[in-house]
Amino acid sequence: MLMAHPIHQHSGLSDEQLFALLGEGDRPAFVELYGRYRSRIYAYALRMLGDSDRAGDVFQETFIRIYNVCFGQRREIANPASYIFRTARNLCLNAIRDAKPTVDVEDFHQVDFQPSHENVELAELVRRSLELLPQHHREAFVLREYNGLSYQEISEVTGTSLAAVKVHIFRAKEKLRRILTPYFEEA
Amino acid sequence: MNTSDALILEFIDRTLDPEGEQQLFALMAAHPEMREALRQHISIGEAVRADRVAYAPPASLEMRLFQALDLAPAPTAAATVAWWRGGIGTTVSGMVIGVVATLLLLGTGESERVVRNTIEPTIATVTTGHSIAAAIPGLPRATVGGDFSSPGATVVRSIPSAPRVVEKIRYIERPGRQAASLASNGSEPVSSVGASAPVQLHQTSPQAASPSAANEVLSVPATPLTAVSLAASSPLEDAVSLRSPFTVELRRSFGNKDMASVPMGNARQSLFENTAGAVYYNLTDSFAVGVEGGYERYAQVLRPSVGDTLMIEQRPAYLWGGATFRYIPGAIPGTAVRPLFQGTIGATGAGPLVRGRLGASLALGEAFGLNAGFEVGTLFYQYNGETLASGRWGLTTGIEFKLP
Repeated sequence: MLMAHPIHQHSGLSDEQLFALLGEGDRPAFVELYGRYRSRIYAYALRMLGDSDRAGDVFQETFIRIYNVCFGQRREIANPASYIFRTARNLCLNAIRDAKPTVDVEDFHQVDFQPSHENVELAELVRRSLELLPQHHREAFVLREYNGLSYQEISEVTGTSLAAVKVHIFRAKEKLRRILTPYFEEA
Repeated sequence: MNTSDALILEFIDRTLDPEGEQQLFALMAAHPEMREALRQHISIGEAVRADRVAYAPPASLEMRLFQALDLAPAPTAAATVAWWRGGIGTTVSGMVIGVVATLLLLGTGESERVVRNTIEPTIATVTTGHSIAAAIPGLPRATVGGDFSSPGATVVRSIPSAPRVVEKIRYIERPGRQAASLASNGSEPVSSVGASAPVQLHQTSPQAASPSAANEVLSVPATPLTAVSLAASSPLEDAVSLRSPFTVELRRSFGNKDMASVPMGNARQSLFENTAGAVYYNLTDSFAVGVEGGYERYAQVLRPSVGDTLMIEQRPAYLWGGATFRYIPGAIPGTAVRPLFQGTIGATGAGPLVRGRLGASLALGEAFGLNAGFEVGTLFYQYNGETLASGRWGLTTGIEFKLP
């Protein structure tokens, strides 16, 4: 299938304008939106699920759903970023429900945590530690710290209150620190 | 979560009010474990920020996604960004090579070509040893005779009743030969001359003069000439062209290939796709300038984010037009085929383009000809602040008409 309009015509449009064009059946508008969010959605899914295969499935399904729902359908999308992330989030939740249970904190320390001279870098440890967080804490932390969404946007994506979002993020940070305490003590 | 943890996290989050900061600083001064907790939170935050790299999805995953949505697949190879550097160079260097090759083929002028549209065209070739009667049509046989191995050069110009055509015969001197004597009936004998003296032939008797023609004698110095032959040609070919200097060409390209990183799908082509037309003004027999235009597709490779793995390819069709120049030198020896070199600078709706063509031209008459060749085109366009280029090449065939 051939795109009739050159991509560069959409590079200066806002996300809201691109969604409006997508509703009019403009395929290049979808490609432009995809280009803007592909990395963020893939990173979000990867950090939420911790598995590249499942993250790839969620990533693919996210954009397919957005395309199928919005292409040729006039919809008012007030916050495109929240809408896209909310779509991805719902799919991540479905994948989490179908996934195997995560490793317990104690098991993590016994099996995965090594003495300081064999430790991976702190960033890698944080990524792995995310798997030990409750899903709603992990989700809020990832959206805030990795994807840079504001508390308000996170509230819209997750459908929770602003206060709850802050609590989830704070608790995620605190638990991460406690998980990583042995690493800090060794360092 | 206890109060101290909340204070630390709010402080890191920059949401702690000034009173809370004072309370936090007082607690940290008294409790070293709080200071350690703050350092740990800061380290985790720095590690997360350093890890905020873009997680580009795998190319295979993107390809599956685009195929599922029936969109153009995202290529994985390098884009055509750097190709433009060779595109123009290829076109120009190809033309230069072609010009040089043509000059080598044509040699250094050992053979003299018939110059068209001359005022005094030649109608016959005369070499030494042949009877002049065989060379000059209409000249009474009684007027000729003798040995033509003459060291001199004599030009006999016969003006027939048709005033537009002027006939000229030129003898080729053979150095070292004895002077020849020409005798014509009713004419004074031609004096023998040496190697450097001209041979004159003139007619004085009015009875011998042809009632329908007048003969003139033109003496020229016996200048040694290298082997030069003037090819016999019909008066019609050598006559001044009665046609206008404009030529119209229609051509079509086929076998077109895009300079894309991955094979592009074949879009449905309209009837006018890959066609072009041109109007040339022939400045000389070999050189022409003009305008041309056509309709064709160019593959474009776009990168939404520099350094990302996503590249989007598309093949929109464009109307293009531009100024062109064409150089068609003399025929390749032994053939009627003439090399063709053409260059065009034009534009499309997306940006400027340059084209080059190397080929051959074959005249099938005075007003009609065919040509074929190899054509390269490069389109320049901009996306996301980058200047990109798209190229294509293919074979072309065309027909051309000289306008009356």
